[in-house]
Amino acid sequence: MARGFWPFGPSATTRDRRYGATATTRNGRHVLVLDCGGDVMTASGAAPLLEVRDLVTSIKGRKQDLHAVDHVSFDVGKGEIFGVVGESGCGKSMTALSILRLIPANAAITNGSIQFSGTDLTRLSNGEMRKIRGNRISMVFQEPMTALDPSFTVGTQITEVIHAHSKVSKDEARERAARMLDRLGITNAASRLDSYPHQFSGGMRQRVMMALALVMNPELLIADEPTTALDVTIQAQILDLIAELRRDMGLSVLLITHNLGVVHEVADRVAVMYAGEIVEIGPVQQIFSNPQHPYTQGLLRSMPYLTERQDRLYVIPGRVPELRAMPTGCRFAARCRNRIDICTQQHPLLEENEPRHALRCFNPMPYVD
Amino acid sequence: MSAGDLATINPQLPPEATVTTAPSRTWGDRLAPFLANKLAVIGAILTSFFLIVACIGAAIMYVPGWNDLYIDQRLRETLLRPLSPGFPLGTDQFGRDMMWRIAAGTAVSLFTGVAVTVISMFFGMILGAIAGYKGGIIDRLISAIIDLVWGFPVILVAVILVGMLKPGLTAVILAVSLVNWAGFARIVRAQVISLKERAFVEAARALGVPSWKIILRHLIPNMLGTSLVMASYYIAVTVIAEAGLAFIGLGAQPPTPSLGQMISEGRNFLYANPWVAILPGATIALIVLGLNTLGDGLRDIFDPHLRRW
Amino acid sequence: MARTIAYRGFYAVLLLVASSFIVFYGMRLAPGDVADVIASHPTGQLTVERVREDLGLNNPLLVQYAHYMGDLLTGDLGISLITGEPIAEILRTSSIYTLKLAALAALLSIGLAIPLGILAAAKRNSLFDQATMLVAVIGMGIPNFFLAVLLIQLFTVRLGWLPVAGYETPKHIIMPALVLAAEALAINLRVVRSSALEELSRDYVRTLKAKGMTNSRILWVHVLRNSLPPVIALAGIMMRTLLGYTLIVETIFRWPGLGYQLVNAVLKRDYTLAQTLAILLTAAVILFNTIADLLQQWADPRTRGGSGH
Repeated sequence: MARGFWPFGPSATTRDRRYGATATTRNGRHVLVLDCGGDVMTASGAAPLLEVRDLVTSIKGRKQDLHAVDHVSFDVGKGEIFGVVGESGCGKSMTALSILRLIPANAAITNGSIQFSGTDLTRLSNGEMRKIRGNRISMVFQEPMTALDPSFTVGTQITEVIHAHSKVSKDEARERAARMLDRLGITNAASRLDSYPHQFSGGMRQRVMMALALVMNPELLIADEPTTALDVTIQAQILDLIAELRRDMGLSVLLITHNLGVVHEVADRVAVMYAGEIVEIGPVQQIFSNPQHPYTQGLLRSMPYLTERQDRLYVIPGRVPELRAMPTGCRFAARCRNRIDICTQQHPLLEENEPRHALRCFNPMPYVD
Repeated sequence: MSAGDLATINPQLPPEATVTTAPSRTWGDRLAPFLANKLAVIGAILTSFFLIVACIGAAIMYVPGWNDLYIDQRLRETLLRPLSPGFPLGTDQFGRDMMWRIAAGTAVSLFTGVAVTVISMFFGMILGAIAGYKGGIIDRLISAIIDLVWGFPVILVAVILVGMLKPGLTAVILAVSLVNWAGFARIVRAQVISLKERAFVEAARALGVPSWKIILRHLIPNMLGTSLVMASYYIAVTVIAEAGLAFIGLGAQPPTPSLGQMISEGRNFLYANPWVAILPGATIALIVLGLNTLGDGLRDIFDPHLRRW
Repeated sequence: MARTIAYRGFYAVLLLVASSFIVFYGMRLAPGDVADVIASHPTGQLTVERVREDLGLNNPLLVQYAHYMGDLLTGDLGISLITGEPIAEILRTSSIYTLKLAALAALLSIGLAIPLGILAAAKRNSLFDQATMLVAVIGMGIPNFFLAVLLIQLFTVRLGWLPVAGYETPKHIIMPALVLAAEALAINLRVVRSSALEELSRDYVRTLKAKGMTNSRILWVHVLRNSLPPVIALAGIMMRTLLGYTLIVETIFRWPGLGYQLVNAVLKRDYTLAQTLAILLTAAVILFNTIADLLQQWADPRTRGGSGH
């Protein structure tokens, strides 16, 4: 029953490992700073690996610039898995792309800073940024089918990362690539290097993507919907792999997903994004056991495995406001069942309501499942 | 919805609605994208202009007493520049009026193009329809021939045909038709195949009307637009082929006036009088440009997916 | 893949036999008996009857065809009716000229189109992009013989840089190669550009950026490689078209290749030479068609045989 209940089928050991690991990272004193321009949140007293502050990424519009990412702030600690959840179009992918400065040509980072190990990524030259991509910060994408170049062997695609970021011989690069594939659970790794992407299955291809991303031992992995295109058992394998890599390599992970189950599975902390803003942020257990923001509550209700006895899935009524027509008040107000007058008049700030847990809501209600 | 629902709904779709789009759109709707496409309008204007020129050219060639306009040699007025008094486009090495020669040459060019298109449309449609309708071994055979000749270099075919016959317009018309019918046949065959099944459904209901009659009825309105598009392209191809062959001496033979021939003769005067070659050359380039842009515009209206190659 | 090659090979051989028979038979229909031409030749004191006997013209057509093909395949090609030169010798020298010219034209059209097209795509809507596309439009619109006249006017008449026609110096090949390449270059430019634009928008390009690849490596290694299939797929068709154009271009510039020889043979009614050249060039077209088909399948690893899952 329990396995069917959780579509990802996590093993008991994975879960124990996760809780064990998170206990140590959450020991430090947490600090929450609020200011008028935006909301700033740090996870712990120790210097985090990635500090995103007040990030605004705008898309050039015909009349005005549209804020796809609107004053977003969060940290990812060393060895932490930080989840960002939201519906498609909420700005979570744009946030991820902004960190690597891979946003589309019609968009630009117009405010804020992205501190990575003490360097502000927004101030680096293109050449300096390129040295970080794939080397110290890597990214895996949702589409394992199309994210690899179909015309080159997997070996070439992995070794070209090694050659781009380090001076090694061809043989050594090949050997490292093979070791990485082997590490990620691809059998016959050395001979598979000569295969083309179309000769791998979806799950295997996502492992190849991870190998590409991890071969330079990056400090941070940005995973944008890494499991969405995969079937359920493969999803669980990939998530286990991420958790394992964090444990073994001390990897920090920024996990972007629309799937709360995935976050619950592996993440330590989570930010819920809505219409370009973070509306709730906190440790995974707290968010899941005691969600405060009506949007988070709605998301949880609409998860199939938490509403076992219900006949129908809960659906949040209405739809996300368009970037072009953002309401002045709370952006979720139109769809909110707890709406009070102030919600449509003033824009709520992200405020701490219990230790390490903040939300952007005037009228939070206790969560009743 | 169950599979049964789908099965009961599909046959009730009126074939007209799915097969032909013509009745559902007015000519105004169809013309709108054409008029919006500036290049297509320019193409139509250019083509109309040269059609008028061709009519004038045909008139001076065939109305008795008028053909001295382009045949008369004035040996004291050779190689006059364009805009000379009495000769807006100048005269050639024999003192013949370039303007009337070009008009007559345009008539020959366009006549060749239209003749080829009519012949290849006729055979292409018949063979394509037979292949699509009959299927089986006949289809395989006709399709194999289509594959062979479709895209065969027109000039090579023409030269070989000239070797079999003799230099002249007949060989050119035959050669280009021999290749171009396959272009029509391909499209008609595909159309007939897609019509066949729907037509049978209707034929059964229509109490024994032969399905080929139904196919024909749907085919003709459907093919009208596509034929116009292809005709524009094919006339352009033919004009180039005819001029090219005339240029190397295998096309229309004197005294038939031909633009390709005129360019070829004009090569001898490039040093002092380049216009003798360049004027007929520019005429061909403009005719071809007009037809191609017109074809592109028509394609946008009738058949956006039609591939040229 | 092996099966495909075998099937295509068999089909090609079938087409070769059919087309060579048609050319052979067609040449027999030519006006004026072959024997008449030979007998009337000033060098020989031959009677028509004697020539007919010698050439086996009294045998049934199929026997004649079999004899001819047998001779062709064993390399016994006979002599030119006009010059008395062995046809094998003519073929040997002129095919080298044609190969040189076609190779240079192909190199120009592909070698220029790929870098220019990719650069145009990378700098989309820039001045460079628009200039490149303008060249492409002109290259596709101007008939090649007229382009030849314009180039002669520019490079020979105005600038005096290049010889007007002939084959003696390396300079002689420049203009014919340019003219032959022009249309293919224009088409390739457009194909490469649109193909590269499509590739640039694909997900793997984002992955490459995320891997920290330089823009030049993304463009000149990955996008380049993935933009090639349409160009390669078109290459076979291009070769075929180029072959057709050699007839005109070689004749204009008196470049003594196969095309020039064929046109001359046809003009001078040199039947044996014309027939052999026609059959060989037809065979080349069929060969290019077959290669084009196979290239199309090979070009894209996604459609290569034996894809794993």
